[in-house]
Amino acid sequence: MSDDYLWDRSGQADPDLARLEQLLGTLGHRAPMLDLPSVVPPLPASRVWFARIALPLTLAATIVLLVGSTWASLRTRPAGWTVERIQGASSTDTPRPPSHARVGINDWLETDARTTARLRADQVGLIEIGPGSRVRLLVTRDGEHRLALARGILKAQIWAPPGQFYVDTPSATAIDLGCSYTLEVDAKGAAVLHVTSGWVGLEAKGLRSLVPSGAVCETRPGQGPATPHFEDAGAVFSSALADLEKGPVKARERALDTLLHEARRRDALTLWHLLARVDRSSVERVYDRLVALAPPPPSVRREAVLDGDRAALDAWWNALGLGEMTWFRIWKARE
Amino acid sequence: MRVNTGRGPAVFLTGMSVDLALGIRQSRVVDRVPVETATSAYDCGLVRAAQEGDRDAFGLLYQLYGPMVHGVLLARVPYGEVDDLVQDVFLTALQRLPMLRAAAAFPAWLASIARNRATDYHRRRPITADPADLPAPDRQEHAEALSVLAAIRTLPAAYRETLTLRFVEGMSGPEIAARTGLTPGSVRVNLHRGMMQLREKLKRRPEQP
Repeated sequence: MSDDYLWDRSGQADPDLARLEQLLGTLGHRAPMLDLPSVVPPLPASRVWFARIALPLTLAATIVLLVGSTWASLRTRPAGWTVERIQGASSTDTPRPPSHARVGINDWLETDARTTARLRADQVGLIEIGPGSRVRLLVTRDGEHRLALARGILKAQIWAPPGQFYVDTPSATAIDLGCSYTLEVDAKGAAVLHVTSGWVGLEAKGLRSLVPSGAVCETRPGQGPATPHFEDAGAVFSSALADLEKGPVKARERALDTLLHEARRRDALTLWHLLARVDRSSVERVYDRLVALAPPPPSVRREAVLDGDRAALDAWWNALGLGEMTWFRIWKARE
Repeated sequence: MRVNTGRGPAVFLTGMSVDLALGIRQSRVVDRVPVETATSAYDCGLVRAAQEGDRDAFGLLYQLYGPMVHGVLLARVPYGEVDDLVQDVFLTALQRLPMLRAAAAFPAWLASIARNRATDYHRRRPITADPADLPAPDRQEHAEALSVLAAIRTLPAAYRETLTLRFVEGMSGPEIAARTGLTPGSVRVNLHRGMMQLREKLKRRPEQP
């Protein structure tokens, strides 16, 4: 008999194995609360300075506070989100569905091919989960709310402060920076982000893409986020961008020529991202074209941009009028 | 409204509730994660956050890795002692976490702590059957489960640990690999060979009353 069922429960179930699962499963871990009542873990090195300079009474209070917070946080179950509204086909032999369910930390929510669900968290926003989707609530607490989208479509309308709502996909993490957007993940883990309001940061593999309203950006497993572009960019421009990023090496030079030729002022979004992604021989051409379309502030020097100076690039980004870099930097500073 | 039952084997669901009327499946996966998602990156993020003092992140690591630690211990120590030892393992991990250099090594590192804790347990106590492991006539199925567990414990260490994680903790082969740091190939071999030996041992057991 094949050992597929033993490996991952695929294939035909082996009766002996199923019996062992049923019998031995009663002995499994029941996840009792983690109990650390009187131990203060050693402080991380970066926090040792506080302990050393604190007054004795304050230090004692600090120890009590650390113990209490350790106890409380390890015993606390974060609040979940409400599954607020369902849309989908129904059959006549099914009773009318209740209006609410609850999704807690580490719970998965999966919709079938005809169903849409909506998640609501009062401090965060509304998230619509499309048909055939699978999403999991990872974190929900003050200052951070995170979902994992394994596959399917997610539409987010976020009113939490920027930099607090994240969606992990297999190929990149989307960071809300004050917006609404649609994120779609396919079966291979590749994703497409469409931003309809505000802007979204995407990050993975050391690459960052900042995607404003009206723009779209792909992400690819193992590669991270691609270069964003506005959805109303011309077909020739979009095609050239795709060739530049995914086409044969020999075709990329021509693709860059085409892209720069077709670029509008609005496509400065794409060119700005390319400054950090093309090789040195190409970056000067991108720089020159971007200067012609959207001149940088006087404080931004050519040499600094060509050298990839972060402050210079940020200042130029802010001058494009697409969105403040501040929130993105605040988010990054938290990590 | 029909419920899409999904792909099944990649995710082991505990306490699943299926709401037919909603047309969605709401699954409580407290101690399982599917291997097809970016959970390794997520787990690394939790480890790094816990290293910085984030207690909520450590609590999530406990939820994710608790079954693995429980299974590793259960393969080695009496059933009645395991829950306390799980706590010990996570206490040790919390204390040593700042010294872990690579977040990606967390699964194997934690499994190692669990194994060492089991070894320490036996060093301090003679190896005898814990009263909780003795069969109770009025709890036949529990007694049978402990009897099978005793048979698993007579297998080589690699096999008994893998089989315990598979059948007691309900983890699939890919999940065992992800949670212990072992390669999928090693886990698959351990499962296959361990199961062969276990079948022989169970055949030779005297019949249960």
